[in-house]
Amino acid sequence: ETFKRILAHKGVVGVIIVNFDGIPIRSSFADSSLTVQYCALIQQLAHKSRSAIRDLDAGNDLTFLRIRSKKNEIMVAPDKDYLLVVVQEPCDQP
Amino acid sequence: MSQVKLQESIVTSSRPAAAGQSAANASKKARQSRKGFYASGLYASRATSGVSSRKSGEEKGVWSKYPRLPNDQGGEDTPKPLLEDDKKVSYDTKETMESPLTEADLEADVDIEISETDTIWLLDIKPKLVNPETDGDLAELIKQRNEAYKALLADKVGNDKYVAREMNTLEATKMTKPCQTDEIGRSEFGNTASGWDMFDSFQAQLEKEKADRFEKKTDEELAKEAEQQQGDDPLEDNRRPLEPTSKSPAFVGRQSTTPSVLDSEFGTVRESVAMTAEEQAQLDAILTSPKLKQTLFIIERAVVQNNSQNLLATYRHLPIIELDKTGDSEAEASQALLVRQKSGASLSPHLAYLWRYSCPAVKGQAVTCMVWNKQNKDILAVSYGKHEYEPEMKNGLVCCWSVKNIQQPERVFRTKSGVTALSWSTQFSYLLAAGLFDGHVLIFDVRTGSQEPVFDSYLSPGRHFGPVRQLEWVRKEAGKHEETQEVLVSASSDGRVIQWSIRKGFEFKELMKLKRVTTVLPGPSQKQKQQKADALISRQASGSSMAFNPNDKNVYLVGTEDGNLHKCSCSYNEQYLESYFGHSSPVYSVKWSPFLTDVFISCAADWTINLWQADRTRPVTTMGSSTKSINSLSWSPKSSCIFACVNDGQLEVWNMAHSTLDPIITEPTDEDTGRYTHVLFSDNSDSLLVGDAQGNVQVFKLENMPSAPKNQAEALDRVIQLALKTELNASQTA
Repeated sequence: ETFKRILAHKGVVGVIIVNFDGIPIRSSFADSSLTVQYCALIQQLAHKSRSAIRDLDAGNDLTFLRIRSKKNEIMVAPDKDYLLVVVQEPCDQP
Repeated sequence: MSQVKLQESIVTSSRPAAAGQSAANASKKARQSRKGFYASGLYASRATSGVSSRKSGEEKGVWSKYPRLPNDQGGEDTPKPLLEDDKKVSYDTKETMESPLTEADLEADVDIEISETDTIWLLDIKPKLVNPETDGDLAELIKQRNEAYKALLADKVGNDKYVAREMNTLEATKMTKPCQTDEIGRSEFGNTASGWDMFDSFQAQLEKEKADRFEKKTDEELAKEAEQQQGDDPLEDNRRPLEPTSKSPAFVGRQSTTPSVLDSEFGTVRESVAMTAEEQAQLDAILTSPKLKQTLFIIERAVVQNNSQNLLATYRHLPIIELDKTGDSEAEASQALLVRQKSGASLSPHLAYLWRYSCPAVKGQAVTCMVWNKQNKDILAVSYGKHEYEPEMKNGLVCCWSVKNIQQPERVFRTKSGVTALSWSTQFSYLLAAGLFDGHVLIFDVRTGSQEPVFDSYLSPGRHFGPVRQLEWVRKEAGKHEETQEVLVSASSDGRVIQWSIRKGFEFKELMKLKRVTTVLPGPSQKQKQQKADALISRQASGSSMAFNPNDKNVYLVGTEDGNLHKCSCSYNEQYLESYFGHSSPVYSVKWSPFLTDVFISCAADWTINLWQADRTRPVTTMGSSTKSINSLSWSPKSSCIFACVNDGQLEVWNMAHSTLDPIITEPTDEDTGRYTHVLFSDNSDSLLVGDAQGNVQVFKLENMPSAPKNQAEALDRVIQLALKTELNASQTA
């Protein structure tokens, strides 16, 4: 449903849903090693950023994480049970 | 013997507790008797009498109070008192001392007797005498202790007996003996408790405590719970062997994220492990959870926004950020430059196409109405249906689009027949009312997004029989006991204006029945003949548009299919307040000016737009530029003299201050977009939205528009005055 729609958007390279263990539940990457790599690295980063936010103010929590790099953009939506990762390449046409 | 006498006398004197008269008398005697004992001068010279002498004398007196123990040798063995209680006696002696003191006494020689003071006993422990014959055991014990004490005194530290000496010990022979054991399993575990970790734990504990207090659990139940949770641990251990198994009950329940950090390194290893049924169930739960949907929703917005960053920036009047891209950067930059040059070159106002709202679901349906949400100006509700009557009734659609996601509508509601009118409520900004082609009125709640309308008029007896042409939410001042409530007013082609209230159920109240009014146009008799020849199909006129006065909520305008406009009031449902004649075909849209309270504008299928003033039954000006029926118009919220209208072939923006003969912008439609059916200005940005018959809503940005005049009302007024003047001139000259 919405998952497929996001995939169909312009510029989207892939979407991954990771559970809290680090196991990818759903992935749109055909290459599984790439998926696993993304999972592990992104999860660590999300955890680190979440702890940074919470150390500053214990009542706060991370809702969204966006990393823009030269070639693409990684969007991470962390949650209690899972982690949603979307990788997108920039393009100007909708 | 005198001692005895003394004793007697003193005893009698010391009996009364306080120093009284009898004591004084008695002490006098004593004194006298004492005088016989010592030299009289002793007491006379107070200054020289030492403490010791006095004490000794008095002591003797006090001493004799106690029972005396003469021992064998004749000496005194009485235990002497530790504290001398001689105050009473001393006072008495002081008193008596005053009287005998004379000058002669002072000169006389004084004999001083010094005697030894008594020893003051501070500690007196009598030695215990033990008879060895009678108490044999005790005597032995004591003897031993005495011996031991003597020995200790002799041997204590510092004694010569303690000296440092070296000794040589034998070396014990060593022998290695191997032994085999099971491998001792080692595992390392590290954990850091960050500030928020502790916060989480305490929160969980607090909540648990609250729950416990609320439910009043007994200790036993708590213990059982703890046991159960401990029991769950072995299951978890299969997947997380590094986690410590002993946890306090408060911590077990929470999802600890710290182990997951370690686990991610082992993620690759675990890939090969087959998923257990429990894990599968959990995954399914995650996939179908509403939270995931919410997150996906937000991410989709982000993704789309990334793509359309520039467009959204122009919409919001923000500067466009150029993204650095490898390789394409030059081409991109030059392209952007071109666009900017183009817009900069033409100084006349024009429209820049931004994006279009379109999705496969709405293809082929005409846009019939567009309204912005009253509270959140980024949300747009668009209704789709048939614009004109068509033999087959198709399903209608209402979509809620947002500026944040220009690819996909955020809410979609399907209706049984085409939707012809929409309106957002102001009191409850999540209620959206839709009027259908078959006369029903539905109210949707966009928060839930459910397909079922919150209210509908299917069962209401007073519903419309013709398509609902216009809906509007009006804030009415209700009775004294009620606060202002909002009611929904609908005008439809069956000639009735109905007011719906949503307080209890969906009640209706008929406001108005539109009657046909014969037009009173001065003109050639041809017209009059035409009127008489008209076979009246129905006695009622059919309303095709409606507008409530923004200042006075009781007054509203209704446009009919005859071309007449009527001003009506909610209080009267029989008569019109005023009728305006000017159009000869159905009035498709009538709108009050947001700046001048009594000016409104109307457009009709007779190719004209009329500007009216509320107290004049004839239009102030008539505008028209093409030969197509004008379907919709909208005032600009920023400038009082600007409005946009849309006809079958093009979109026109008029500036009345500039010219009433020609629009300032015309934008012709393309082949594939079809007829334009509806136009709407955007409140929070300089944009214009146009809906067409193919289901697209295009968003244009207005550029180089003339800035709004300082006094909007005045500007419009000037236009009107000018128009009236020209008309007057025209009629005068004619």
